[in-house]
Formats: sequence, structure tokens, C-alpha cells
Amino acid sequence: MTLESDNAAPPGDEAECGRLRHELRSRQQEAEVNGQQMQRIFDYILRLQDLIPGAMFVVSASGAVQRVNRAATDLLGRSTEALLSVPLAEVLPRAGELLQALTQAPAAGTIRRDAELVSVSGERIPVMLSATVQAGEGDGPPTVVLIAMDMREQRRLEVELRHAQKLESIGQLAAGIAHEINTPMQFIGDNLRFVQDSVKDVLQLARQLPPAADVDVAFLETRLPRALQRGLEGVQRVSRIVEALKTFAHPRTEAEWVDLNELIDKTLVVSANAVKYVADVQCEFQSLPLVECGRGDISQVILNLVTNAAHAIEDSLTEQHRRGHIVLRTRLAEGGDAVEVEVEDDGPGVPAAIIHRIYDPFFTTKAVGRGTGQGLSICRSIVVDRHHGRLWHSAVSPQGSRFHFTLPLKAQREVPRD
Amino acid sequence: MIDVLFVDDDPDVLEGLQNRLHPLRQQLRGRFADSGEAALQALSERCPDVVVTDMRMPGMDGAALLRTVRQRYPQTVRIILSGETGTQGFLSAISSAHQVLAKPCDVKDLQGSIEETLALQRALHNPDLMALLGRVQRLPAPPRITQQLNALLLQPDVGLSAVADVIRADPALAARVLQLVNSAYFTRGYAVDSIVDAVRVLGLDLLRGVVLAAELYADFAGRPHLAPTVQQIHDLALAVVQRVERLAGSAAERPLLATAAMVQDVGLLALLGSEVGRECDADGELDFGLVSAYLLSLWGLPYAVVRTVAWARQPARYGQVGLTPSSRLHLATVLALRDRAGAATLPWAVEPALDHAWAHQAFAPGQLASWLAAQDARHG
Repeated sequence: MTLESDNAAPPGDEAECGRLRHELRSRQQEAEVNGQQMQRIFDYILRLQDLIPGAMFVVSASGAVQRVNRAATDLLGRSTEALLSVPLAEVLPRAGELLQALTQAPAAGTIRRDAELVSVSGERIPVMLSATVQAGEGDGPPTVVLIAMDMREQRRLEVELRHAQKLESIGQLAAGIAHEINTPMQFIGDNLRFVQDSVKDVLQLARQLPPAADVDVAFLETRLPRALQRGLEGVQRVSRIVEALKTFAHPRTEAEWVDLNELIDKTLVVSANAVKYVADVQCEFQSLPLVECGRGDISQVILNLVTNAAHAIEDSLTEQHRRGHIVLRTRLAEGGDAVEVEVEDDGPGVPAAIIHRIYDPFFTTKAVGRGTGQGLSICRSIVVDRHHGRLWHSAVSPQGSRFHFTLPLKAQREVPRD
Repeated sequence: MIDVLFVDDDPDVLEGLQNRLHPLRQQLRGRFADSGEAALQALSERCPDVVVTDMRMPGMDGAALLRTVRQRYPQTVRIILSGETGTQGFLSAISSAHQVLAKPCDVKDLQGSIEETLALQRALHNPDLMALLGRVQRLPAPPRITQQLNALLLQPDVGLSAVADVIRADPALAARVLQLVNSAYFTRGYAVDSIVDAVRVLGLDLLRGVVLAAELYADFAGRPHLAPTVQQIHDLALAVVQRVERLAGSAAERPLLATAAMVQDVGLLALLGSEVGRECDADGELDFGLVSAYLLSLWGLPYAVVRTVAWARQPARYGQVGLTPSSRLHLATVLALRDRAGAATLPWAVEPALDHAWAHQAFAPGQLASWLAAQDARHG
């Protein structure tokens, strides 16, 4: 049989063509359906990717970012495009080491470790990182999948817990030494009062005696009573300190009705050491209603703000400017539904460049050993989260800074004071 | 001359106190014991007006000593002077002491309050009554109220205000929290006369502790028949508080008067069901205002509250001229009793009639009636 022209195809072949065309069409349809299905699956995987409760990065062995999920863009504050255009090391310091370890020994499987990611604002975010090598797409080279869980909240809670434990042990220590200190204070005070009273009689007798060469009765007459008075004031001061320490490390967890002005006075006794060499402290208190709050908590906030103020001043002291000023003010907030406390210093103020980061946990400008960067973060957690108050900062002209916080009086209206 | 026995295991403390008393020797006579056992020996030789003891001592501690003193020498004022600061220590201290003071303190500050207590003791001149009152640590409150309070304190998220509302409306609970808060332990010497402030200063944790230790109020074990009377005293106190708040001379005077009105019948609560109370009442001489005041002064409540209560039954007799806190409380009580005329009467002759001697001097003839009518109009 010879093959002739196309248009002279035998009828049997035509039938075959029709069948093939039909087959082709159905294959095409099938492929289309498969394609759609593939697309759906792909979309699904992409969506899954965004549902992972951690920031995901797919990177090449050399550290080129190939894919990120939404958690990654949200966490770092950078767009997908921005993330795909930078090497991993830009957002994950020392990424090279990690990738090397993984790609050289892929049998190691998954590596988990604590790490830090760097956000667009420069914040270092503590994360729990897991990194796994996966086979490349098609014949492509293997890639590394990194998943980073945000650990900020966890770290914050850990810090708070440690802090609470520290306070608790201070409280126990304070209660223990209070007894040991108060007992001698009792007899020191009693003896001083006794001497104070007896000195009057003794001096009266001395006046009637002939003058002795070495005895300056006039001096004794003025100074002895004063010396004893100072001694008694010292006793008062020591017992005030013990009392304040006890208040400060108050183990009571429940809210109490607190006189904020008195609480600030007591806290200043505890913080005297941090302040007295660098600044004069001035209190401008308005009379306030009692506020329902955690005594130890608020004492902590005041201590942190005052210590920060003292440190700021200390750093700015010069030959001309030998001492700074710290002013604490209390008032009923505008509207009368909250009390406001203000801590003002005349230090160098907070630089504009870091103002948005001062409440971040672990952010500090202080030297190692002087500040842990937890102070303002703890203040915010206490005031805003636990007491539903506000904490903010304002600049002072010509120089200095002022921190304010408010505590709501909401419960105050339940029961009028009788 | 006040006779005081000081007990402390630290010889330095005793010597210090001895020195301190030297300039006060015209007013205070001190004896000193270095242990609970030595104190009991000294007590058996001569019974002092006051025992001031340390809390933590080897052998018999301060609380144990005062329990024995309470039993054997109930009319002696029992004070703990402690350097301790914990809640637990405080709870065991208040179970047997009238007052708890914190070291360091100047014993001269004690002098004023003790003199007042002793003056009230002399005015009442009845050793059996003194002994009975001296033993009282807690007073009964109506079962309905104590159940309500316990249920509240069991709720983990209860507000202090809700607890304060219950306590400030009951004489027994109010007097007890005022006693607790006015021990120098909490306030280092400043007087708290507002019941709500007292609750706030003490805080929920301590109140729970006090209730758990069964130290806030007395129960009725074996004496259920007294409950209705206790309820009546409770109701009357509330009515008098309402009255007296309208009679207060100034806003500043109101907390004092409200507190005095609430606690003015604690003496009656203390004597309920006792033989002594019945006997005292039989001769009609007993001034229940003085009885309450004596108890309140033993417990270290502020002078102003003690005096207001002491003079409120018979203001003229105690030199009250015109509208003083005591005479305002007197009037409020008379008015509240008139309001509830017809209700069951309280035991004994405790219902004060108007003190006519005072009224004649304070009001022109006929004026009192119109003044009372005006008060009624305001009240109604």
C-alpha cells in the first residue's frame, strides 16, 4: 500500500484522526485540570507556609534568600521583595556558619539553636531557630529551610519571673534582718533618750563647778544635746530604711489601696544611694486619693525611673554642672479618673534616634553591668499591662527628660471613702 | 503612777528601757524580767497595770506568756513589743495581746493611752467586769454576716471594696480591724479611725489570714440563742451610723462619728450572755458607753473614737457642752432608737434615753423638739 495525498485519506484513517483529536482534546483538558489542581495545591502550600507560626526562610547553600513567608515579613518589618534581595546574613548574623554546618553534614538533620534576627529598625529579636536541608526542586541543588519562632514574649516572662523571684528573696531577707536591726534600734533609742535627759542635769551641775582648764562647758552645752538629737534622728532613719525595704519587696501580690505619695517617699529611701551623689531630689506632691495597685510593683516602677534619671544625670556631669535635679510630681490627671506621676531630670535627654526603642526589652545604652535594658520594659509591663495605666516620655527644655505614668482610679468609684 | 512589767530576753533592751524610764519615774514604775518564766514569778508577787513583752524568746514566748496572763490576771493590759515583721508573727501576737507595738518605739508614747485605759478602769470600778472585758479578744458578729464575709474572701478575684463594705457595716468586725490596724505594726503610730481605710491598709491577704486563724470574730459555739441579739445590735449600729452622718458638724468629722457610731456597743457585745453583765445591769448604774470605751482603749483605738464613745451615753455628766462629737452621737442614737420603736428591745437598760441635763443646756425650752423635727424632715 502506498501513501497518497492527505486529502485522499482513506475513510478508516479519518476515523482514526477523529479519535486522536478527541484524545488530544481530552488530554489537554486533563492537563488543564491537572494544572489547575497543581495550582490549587501550590496555593495551598503557599497558604500553609503563611500559617506556620514562625518566620520561614528558604535559602540556597550560599545564603541567597529564595522564599519567605508572611510571618517573616511581619516579624522583620521588611517586604518579601526586600528580603529576597538581601543575603540571609543581613537578617541573621553569622548565618554563614550555620549554612556551612548544615550543607557539609546534611546527615545531621535538623539544627535547633537560639539566635537573633535583626528587624528593619535594628531591633535584635531573640528567636528559636530550626534549620533543615531539603532536596532541591527538580535537579536543583539542595536548599536550607529555616524556621524562626519569636521568643520575645517568652524572654520577657522569664525576665519578669526572675525579677519576681529576686524581689521575693529580698523580701525574705528584709523580714529576717528587720528583726535583727529593730532590736538594737530599740535600746540605742532608749539609751539616747536617757542620755539626752540626763545631760541636762549633768550640764547644770557642771555650770556650778569651778572652770577646769581642758573642759569647754559652753561647747558641750550647745553640742551635746544636738549630738544626741542627731543620734535619735539616725535611729529613725535606720528604722525607716528597714520599713521601706520591707515595703519595696512586698510579697503581697494582690492590689491594695496605696497612698502614692507615701509610697514614693519610701521608695526614695531605698534609692537614696543611687541618687544622692549626683542629684538633688525634689518632691512636688498634690494630695491624692488612695489608688488600688500593687505596692511592690509601683515601687519598682518609681525606683526604675528614678535610677534612670540619676544615671542620665551622672553621665552628663561636668566641671560646671556638678549636680543635677530630679523632680517627682504627683497629681490627679486631667478628667480626674487617674493619678499621674512624673519623674523629671535635667540630664541629656533621650536621643531622638532611639526614642522608639526605649521600651524594648534588653535595649540599653548603659554600660555592661550598669543596666540590663529591662528597666523601662518592666515599667511598661507593670503600668500598661497590669494596671491599665499609661507610660510615656516627654522632652524637657532646655535639656532633660520627663517620664510620666498614670494609674486609673476606676475602682475608686465603687465605694466612696467614708 | 503606772506599774509596768517589761519582758525581753535581750538584756540590752531591758537596760535601755530601764534607762528610758528614769526620766519618766514620776509617771511610770518599771519592773523587768528576762524570760516568760521570770515574768510569771514577778506577776505572782505583784500584779502590774501593764505587761509589755517581746515576742520571740527562748522557752515561753511572748504569746504564750500573754495567754497565761490573760487567764490569771485578765485586768492587766497586755502589749507585745516586737521587732518582727512577718504576718505569721503578727497573727500569733494578736491572738493574746490587746495591742502589738513595733520596735523601735518610745515607751513614753504608751503613757497617754495607758493612762486613759486606767482612768476608764477606775471610772468603771468593778473588778469582775474588768476581768471579763480583759479576757475578750474577739466579739460575735451575726452568722449571716460572717458567712457572707467568708464566702467573699474565698473568691480569688474579690475586690477589697466588697470586703470593706461588709466589715464597715458590723460592729464586731469593724472594731477588730481597727484594733489590728492601729497596732503600730502596720501604721507606725498614726491613728486610723476610718473603717474602710483600715481594711485597705490591712489588705486582703492579711484579712484572709486573720479569718483563717479564727481571729477576726467570735463564733456562737454553744450559745446560738445569742444570735438574734447580736443581729439587733448590728442593725441598730447601722441605723445610728445613718443618723449620725447627717448630724456631723463637718465633713471632716464624719468618719470619726461613723466609726464611733458603729463600735459604740462593743461593750454590750462583750458582755452578752455573761453573769457579770446581768448583775451590773441589775443595779442600773453601769454606763455601757464607758464599757465600750474601755474595751476600745484596751485595743488601742484612736483617742478620738474612745472619747466620743465614752461620753455619748451621758454627755452632760462628762462635761459635753453643746454639739460635740459625743453629743451628736448621743442624739443620733436617741433618734435611731425612736425610729425602731416597736422592734424587739435590746437586753438590759442599754437604750439611752435623751440626756435631759445636756439638752436643757444645749437648747432653749421647746427648741429641741423643732430641731428634732427638722432632723426628721431631712432624714425622711
